Amino acid sequence: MSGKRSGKISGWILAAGLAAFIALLGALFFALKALPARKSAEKPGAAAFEDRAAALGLIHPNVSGAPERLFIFENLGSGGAFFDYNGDDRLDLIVNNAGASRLAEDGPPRVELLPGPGPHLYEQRADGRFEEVTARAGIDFKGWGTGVAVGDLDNDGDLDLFLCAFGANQLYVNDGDGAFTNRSRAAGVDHAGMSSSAVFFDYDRDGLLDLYVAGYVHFDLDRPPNGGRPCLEHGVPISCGPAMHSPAGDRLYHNRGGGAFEEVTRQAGIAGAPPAYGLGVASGDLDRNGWPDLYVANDTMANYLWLNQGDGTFQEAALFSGAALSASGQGQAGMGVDLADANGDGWLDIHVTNYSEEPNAYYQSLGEGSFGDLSSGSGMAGPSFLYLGWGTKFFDYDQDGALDLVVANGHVHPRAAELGTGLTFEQRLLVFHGGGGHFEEVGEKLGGPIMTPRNHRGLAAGDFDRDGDVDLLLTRLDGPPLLLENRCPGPGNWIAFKLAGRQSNREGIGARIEVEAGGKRQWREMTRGGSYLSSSDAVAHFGLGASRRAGRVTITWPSGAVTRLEELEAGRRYTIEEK
Amino acid sequence: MPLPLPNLLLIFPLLLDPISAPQANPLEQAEALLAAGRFREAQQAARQALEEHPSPERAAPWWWLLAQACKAEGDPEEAAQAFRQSAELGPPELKTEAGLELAKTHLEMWDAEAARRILESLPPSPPGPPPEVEELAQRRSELLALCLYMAGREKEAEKAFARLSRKGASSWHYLGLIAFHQGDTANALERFNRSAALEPRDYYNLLYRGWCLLELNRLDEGVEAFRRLLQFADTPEAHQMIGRLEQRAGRFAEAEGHFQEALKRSPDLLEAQFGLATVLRRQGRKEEAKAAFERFQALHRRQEESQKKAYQLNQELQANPRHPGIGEALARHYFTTGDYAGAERQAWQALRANSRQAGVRLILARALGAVGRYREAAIQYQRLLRAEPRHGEAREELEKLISQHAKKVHER
Repeated sequence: MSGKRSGKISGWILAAGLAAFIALLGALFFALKALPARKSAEKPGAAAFEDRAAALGLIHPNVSGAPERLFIFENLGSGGAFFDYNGDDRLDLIVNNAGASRLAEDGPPRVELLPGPGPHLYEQRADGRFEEVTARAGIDFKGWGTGVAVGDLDNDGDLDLFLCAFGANQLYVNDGDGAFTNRSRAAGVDHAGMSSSAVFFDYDRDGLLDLYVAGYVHFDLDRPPNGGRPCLEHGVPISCGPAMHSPAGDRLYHNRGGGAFEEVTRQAGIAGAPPAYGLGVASGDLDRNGWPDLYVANDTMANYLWLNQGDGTFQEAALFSGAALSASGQGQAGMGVDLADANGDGWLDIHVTNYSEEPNAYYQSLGEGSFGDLSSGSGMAGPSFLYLGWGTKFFDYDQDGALDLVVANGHVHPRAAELGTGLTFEQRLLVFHGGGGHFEEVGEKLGGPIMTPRNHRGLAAGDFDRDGDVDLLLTRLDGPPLLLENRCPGPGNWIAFKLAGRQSNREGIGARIEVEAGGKRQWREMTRGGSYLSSSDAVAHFGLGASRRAGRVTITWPSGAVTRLEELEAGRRYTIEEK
Repeated sequence: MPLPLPNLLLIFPLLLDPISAPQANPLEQAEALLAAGRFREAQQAARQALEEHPSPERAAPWWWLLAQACKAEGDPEEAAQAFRQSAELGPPELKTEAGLELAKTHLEMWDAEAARRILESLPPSPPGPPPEVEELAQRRSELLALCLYMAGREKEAEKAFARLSRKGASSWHYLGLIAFHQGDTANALERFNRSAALEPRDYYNLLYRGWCLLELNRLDEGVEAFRRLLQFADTPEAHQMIGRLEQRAGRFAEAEGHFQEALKRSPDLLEAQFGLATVLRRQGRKEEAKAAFERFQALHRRQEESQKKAYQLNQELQANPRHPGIGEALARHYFTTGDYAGAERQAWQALRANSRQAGVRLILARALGAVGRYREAAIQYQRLLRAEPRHGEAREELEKLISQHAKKVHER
């Protein structure tokens, strides 16, 4: 009896227990979903970043000509961007794409470009997966795409797209209803050449975003260099370098409003410097005179620092400022660039990625627009020496309050390993952990996709899963993109800001955001630009370490207005409107 | 009728010192001439002996002596022929020795591929008593590693150098260079240190060692290392490197002094001009800095154009390796832009395709003369004049070389 009774009771208890257990499992399931993803990485051996691209639907590969890559444009790759194109507060993505090329079979050497698959626009759905919506959104470009720049050109609250190309550049204006309209010609920005990276910034602070487009080389398809033959290095066929081409030069467009741009390259003084092989471009107020400047990474030549004179003109000052060349005065093969206050002294520093067998360059600001090459002294030179760097971003991956740095690498020569110098075509990422302007490469510690050799090119930063830390989008020369979810078991709290300009441009591009927390002051300049061929999300993210709140936040808008906020709780993204 | 050649012996009057001791036989006499530095006479003796068509066993030592005399005089082409003969005719122990010397001579003419082929044809373990066998095997391996290095196959070269059971100063130096080229500065420094321990006065090794200290931010050690180097090699490069170390340490006035010293010795030294402009800027001397940067920019532009042109010519040459004009144009380009090592390397490469190119040989002679290798330069002028006795430029330049440098040699 007792047995039966106990059996009944046991059965009831068991049923109740089972229900509770299921409920607990359910709760646990939801709790796990709600928890920031970083928790799972706290297990020993778990990688700090996880590539979620395939799982979330980013499956379309990039193409870039023939596998031998014997023409210089086949090595550029295409970039990508994080942006919320439909205003649903979820980050969407676009990945530009190139095409195919071939040498004409008859007649004199001539290169033919064939239409490519075109860019892929991915919309993030509520479940976090991405759906490819390019055609639905009206993006019909099938040319040889390179860079991507994102900005709200007309301040209508939705984000517009500029696609750089080998061929005519493309401007897609967001209609606000989930579709874009191609306005390249009407806006006057459809220059046909070989454009690489572009950046939207408001150089005259009139509240409208202007556009700077870096140009790489002149490539005459009807008269390819070296008679259409590949160049040779140690007898290995490779694409001919920039020296076999003439430089294309860059272009500056002034936004006149009403959807029209005017090319002001000459009037603004940009044509005053000799054309260069421009690849990466970033904007920021490098001399802190209140006007946004430009830094252009040039391949094999001195880089350019265009200091904004505040009167609609720029002056090239890289050489005199100490940010043009290597420490020994040699031009390097600049590819990508990013600007940030890496050592916390209140001035923007510059990081430039370079060719293999050259260290990446770190120009630390000495104040007032003057720089010192601290590549060796900062710990960045040695680890980057053998890598060919492209995209790069300063970001605080572990949210300890000091900026770290990521670099996307990959060689241009598929047969690099045959050159005998220890180079490889596919290369891993480099991640530098920063602190006070000193950097330690920690790729091996972070493991996972950081260590996987691939042919990376573009790199953009953004918190796509809205868990507070910064994730990364990477494009490849010949494969689907990578979406690296930050699962770093860092100790830090965080706070982030999105801006809504009124007198200033809508996203507050160029605003200076200063945060004081735990006795430490940090600042960011709002930008989408920098890196290589790519556009990051316009959110200023700050790691706060142990601090649970930001004591004081000061935003200086491009219009000159200042917003002051106090005692903001950490762990949130704030949207701040310009008054 | 050929014009008489300027007397080469005039360049080296000190070589006419008499030999004091009488010698027992012609070969020993010739060896004594060689030992006394009377290379021309040693060559003449060897050639006379070989004209008598001796048997292969008797000819081999004469070829060996002729090769050594030619090599010592700075005539690697003649030396190579003679080493080849001694390797073919000589007994087994001489074959290996001559093969190694032949490979070295090809390396001097920047022909790593020929050197490698020769070395690979040699037996890894030649006949002979164990210590000598080991010595020859070691030298063969070391030269093979050097061939790989010179062919740009650095990873393979690194393994080959690392495998050597005994590493000399030069092996450690090349290992250091390979690590340096791979950005592994700490390892490079260790290797340059090993080389310096064996050969404390190797200029290039010490230069690179100091450069490593700069890259590793060991600034005071670097300054000290270069100060020691300056005591026996007061070169623009050494001053330039001290300048960079001092600049990095924030001692701008000291850096300025060294950059100025470098520019006194080599006014077109780009790195020194850049360093000078930078430290002037850092000291707030804006106008002086601006002028220095302008000077630097002019040099830099020239260098960029030169590099671009060299790249284009190199590509043309690789596409048409036997084209007589392109090789010469490239060698001339290097020479006119002051890259004398590049000119020498390229001239040898062009002469391999066609040794009768007078223009290329003239550039070779000029390049050797430009870096103070007067004896070797004179030999190249002479060879050119033997082929083209009426070559006015070559004659004029050789006479000038003799008049200017024979005296200097004498004064020394």
